[in-house]
Amino acid sequence: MSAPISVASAGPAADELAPVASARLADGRLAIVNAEGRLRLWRDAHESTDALQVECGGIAVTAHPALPVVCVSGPQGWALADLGAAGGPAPPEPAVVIAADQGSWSACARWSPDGQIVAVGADRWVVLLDPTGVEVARIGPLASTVTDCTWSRDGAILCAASYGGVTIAHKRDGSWPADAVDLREFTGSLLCLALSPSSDWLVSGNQDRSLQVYRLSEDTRLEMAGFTRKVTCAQFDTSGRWVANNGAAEVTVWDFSGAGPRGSRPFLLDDHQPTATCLAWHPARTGILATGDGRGLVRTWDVVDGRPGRPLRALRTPVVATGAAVRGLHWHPTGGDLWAVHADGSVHRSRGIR
Amino acid sequence: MTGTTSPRVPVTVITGFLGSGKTTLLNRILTEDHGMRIAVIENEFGEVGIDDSLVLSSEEEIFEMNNGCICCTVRGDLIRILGTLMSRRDRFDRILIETTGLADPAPVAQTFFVDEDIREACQLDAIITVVDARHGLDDLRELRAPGVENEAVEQVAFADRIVLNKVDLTDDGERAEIVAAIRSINSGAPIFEAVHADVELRQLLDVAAFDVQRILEADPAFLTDTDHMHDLTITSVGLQVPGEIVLERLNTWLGRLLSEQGTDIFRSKGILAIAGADRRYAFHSVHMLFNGDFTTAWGDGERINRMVFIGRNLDRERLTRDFEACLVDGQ
Repeated sequence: MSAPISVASAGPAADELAPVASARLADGRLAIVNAEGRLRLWRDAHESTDALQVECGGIAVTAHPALPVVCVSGPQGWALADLGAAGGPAPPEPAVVIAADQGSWSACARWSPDGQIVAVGADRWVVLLDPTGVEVARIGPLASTVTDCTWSRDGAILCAASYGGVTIAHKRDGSWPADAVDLREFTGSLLCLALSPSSDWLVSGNQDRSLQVYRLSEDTRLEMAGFTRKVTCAQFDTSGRWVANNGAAEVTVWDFSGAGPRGSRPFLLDDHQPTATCLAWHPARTGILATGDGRGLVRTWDVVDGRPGRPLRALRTPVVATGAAVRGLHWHPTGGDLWAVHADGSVHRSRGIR
Repeated sequence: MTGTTSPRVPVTVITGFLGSGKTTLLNRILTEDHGMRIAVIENEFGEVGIDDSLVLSSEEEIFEMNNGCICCTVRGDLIRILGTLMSRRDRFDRILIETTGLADPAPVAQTFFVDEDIREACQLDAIITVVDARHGLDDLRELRAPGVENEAVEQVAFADRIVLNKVDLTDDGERAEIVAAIRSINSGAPIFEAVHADVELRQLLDVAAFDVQRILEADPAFLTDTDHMHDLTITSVGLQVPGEIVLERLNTWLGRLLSEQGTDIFRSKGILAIAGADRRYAFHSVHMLFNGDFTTAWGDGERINRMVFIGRNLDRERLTRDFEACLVDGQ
């Protein structure tokens, strides 16, 4: 018999506005930003504080892998903010903006795995900043506004998506020279990117309802088409074997072991309406995936239990069920708990998930 | 095919050639005392009154889209901006999009067909084209090399409402001439004469031009037949044919027509009597993108099929012949 899951929840504050993005800090706190750039910090499901308001508005937020620093990106630029240390008996330091830039459309920001650089989309450029907000390099211009970017595990490769393909930049001798940038073309609008831990497979989710799979070592591209909606989420699990993506009522999970997914049948995680809005692989257990959908259902799945081409049943009845779309899913680094952020501002923290 | 019943945010597109008065009209809408909160998306950094509205500026980004056999272009910048605005959904009553003077309206309109999130959250209300009464005729008549578009003509062709601005700078003869030129391109869109874009806003807002459920209300003069001017390559063809349509034949014909000539057919709309159906079938299309649904009951009304095509190289005889072949007694 499965151990019970305990769920602690908090509804929105009276003036709470719909969250658009969230990120989990290394100390376990959750940073949530709304479209107006208001950033709220959750210590647990019952304790949150308004941290600060950034001028750039909010589209995305990324947390430093070790420090209590986040980068918020939005329609009018970006902002780096130090949220102050958590815990301790003394009152927390107020959050402060370390650096900011206004004027460019910034849809994405990603910290490198070692925390040395944050890559920020700025119109058609990717700007690389150090943790104090100083620009160290700039990649581009891409064919259109940057929609997503992702790092290799060693931080030596940065991939950026836009209309027309993926731009791949390679770090060389500590810098990012222009001649170490190549483009993998695709005539379409790329919305999200995922790079395998091996750095050999790159996956993009696209406006034209397809998933494009690039094998970088062989310079080949495979197309998975037939989704009923645009693909806005695609993620590798930590082992690099599995990729999950949305784009239909089923979340599709591909097996990238061996020669990759060509010719294989995927696993189908059924009944997300109208599609999954968030995906999050368990950080420690291979094949365990959390999904959230437009109805506010949060469920977990074990793809290892599944059979290719057949619908897979969720591990248990919804972990959380609200009427508001899931906007963020965040596992604790050890997988001990799962945070879910919903469009109505409610936050749920679940413990005891398998 | 589903009806449009959800409360989506109405979006009005304001287009028009350089100097026609688009920004003047936009500012009027924003500053008039209507009690609405409006978000504006502009591609030119003009002087837009902000008051209680939000203004987002961006560069146009045209994206090619291929969804199966459907090929079209969309505005990538609008997809991301509208997506962002929808995250503030409860704060805006309306969205206005002001295009550049050289904009092609087709990608703007097609964006609302193609992106499912936008389609579910927004309703394209109308395309308003502002025409300079004094200089517009020159713009419409400007000859371009083969294959090169005349943006002014396209903007008139796509319009659901036309504001003929700066009429104080013209005499009756000049006005009649430009109205005739506009009519030869777009036979159905109402034309409102204006000075400093002083049109009553109720004529321009909540038009529902892209709502198939309200297509009958949107164009009361839809299918006004006119004398066609020669020398303009973009024209309107209206068909009005009594009888009932066999749905399968209609689907085959429209599918072939739009895939073969979709590039040349800028817009089409129609109200059809389908054999076996007691409700009117209304549709509209932008190039190859088509949307249709059953609407109001015919009741005792005469079942007449009405369609209009606006586009380039339209063959009225062939369209009529092929359409009549879709009738119950057409083959």
